[in-house]
Amino acid sequence: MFKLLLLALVAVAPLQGCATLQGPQRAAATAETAQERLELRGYAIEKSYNIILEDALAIASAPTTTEVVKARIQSASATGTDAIDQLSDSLARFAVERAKVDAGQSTVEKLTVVADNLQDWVNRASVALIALQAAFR
Amino acid sequence: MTTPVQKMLNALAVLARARHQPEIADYLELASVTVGALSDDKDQFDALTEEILARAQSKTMPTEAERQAVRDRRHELAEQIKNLPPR
Repeated sequence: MFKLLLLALVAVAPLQGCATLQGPQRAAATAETAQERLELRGYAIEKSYNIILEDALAIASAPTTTEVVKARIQSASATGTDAIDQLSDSLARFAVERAKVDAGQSTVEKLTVVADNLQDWVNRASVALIALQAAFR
Repeated sequence: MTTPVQKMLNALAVLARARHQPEIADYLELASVTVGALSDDKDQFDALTEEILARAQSKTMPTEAERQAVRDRRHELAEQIKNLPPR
């Protein structure tokens, strides 16, 4: 199901209106769309993680779950939640920087650096999410 | 909500316990919990997929309050998992 969600995220937000743009304008529009998609992907990972955490809690709390599985869930949850918090912080920094660019108080170059950082945390958070799932499935 | 598959697994677990097969009953009960979690997942992931697609089409990003609510829920669940009592 999560793969489906990610597939959907890759497919969304086509480059509407970009076909008529040329050169630097088109490149800027493409970058903007990619950044919007990245931001949504980060948010989707955050919310997906909560869904998996609810499962993890239900299974770790079940009287039939072994202590080994419970310990694995607790470890993956501790590590994973830290990674998702970092993703969340990175998303917030991206939103602030984008607002600054919109207000003419920052540059597209700075926003690109913040977006690269966000991409890095999206990748790490994806790994954390899969690790949490693997702890009990 | 208990799904038909969960009901069947729980019934089999009761049967296994009555026949003095506690290990099999344990596995069946665990399977029932897992099936329940997976069923909940589908609804929640479907809702999330719809939300993300709608946001992508309307170019509406989550507000600070929405982000904070997701973060708070995450911390609440993580704390509960961390503080599960030993058996």
